[in-house]
Amino acid sequence: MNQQQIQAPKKSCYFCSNNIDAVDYKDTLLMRKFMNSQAKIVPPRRTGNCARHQRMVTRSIKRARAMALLSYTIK
Amino acid sequence: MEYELLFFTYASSESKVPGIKKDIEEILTSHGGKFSGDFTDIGKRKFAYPIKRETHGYYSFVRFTIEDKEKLPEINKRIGLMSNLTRHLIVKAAEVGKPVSAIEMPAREIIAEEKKIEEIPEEKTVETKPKASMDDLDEKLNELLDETPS
Repeated sequence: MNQQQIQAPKKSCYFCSNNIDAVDYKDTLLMRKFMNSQAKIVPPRRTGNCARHQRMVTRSIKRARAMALLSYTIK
Repeated sequence: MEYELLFFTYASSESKVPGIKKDIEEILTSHGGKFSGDFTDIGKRKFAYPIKRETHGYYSFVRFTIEDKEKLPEINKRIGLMSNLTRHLIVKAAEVGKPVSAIEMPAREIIAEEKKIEEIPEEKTVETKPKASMDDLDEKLNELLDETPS
């Protein structure tokens, strides 16, 4: 049958819906939301983030990793 | 333009932090930078991964403004050459947003506060339970708080 009917409703961007305009690289708990259990960055198709905010999240996660606030990997 | 500078040292050399702050202030002011606030200490925090076998660091950050952004690479280099500082990071303040207090950071004071909060209600209700469990709880809490950066 038509496979498109099974698709889940599209999630909305967390930052757009909460009116957050900047992502702090020190806020590890927030960034942890957008990482999986292996500490990989989750793609926006799973989180629903818009492109602009996904770039912000990625940038601050990478900064936090360099500062040892977040880990590069969890085995 | 306003920038934010974050740096940390190993927790074992925490006593050097005031000296580091002075050096940073000297470097910044000599290149025409101006502090827009005082240093905010995040405090002692567990690293997400060990760095040269060290597991804990002492973090602090400050915001400053500088007119001539051409001088930033020079400042970055000078701070990087400081031997008693482990790592540092300079970012545009606009990308970080408003200055936040160390809410999410399991700093020392926060751990101490949580202990106080949890101790008070527990004394009222747990008269029948043995007192040893309290210490266990505290230990577990400390462990959990230490493990949060992952």
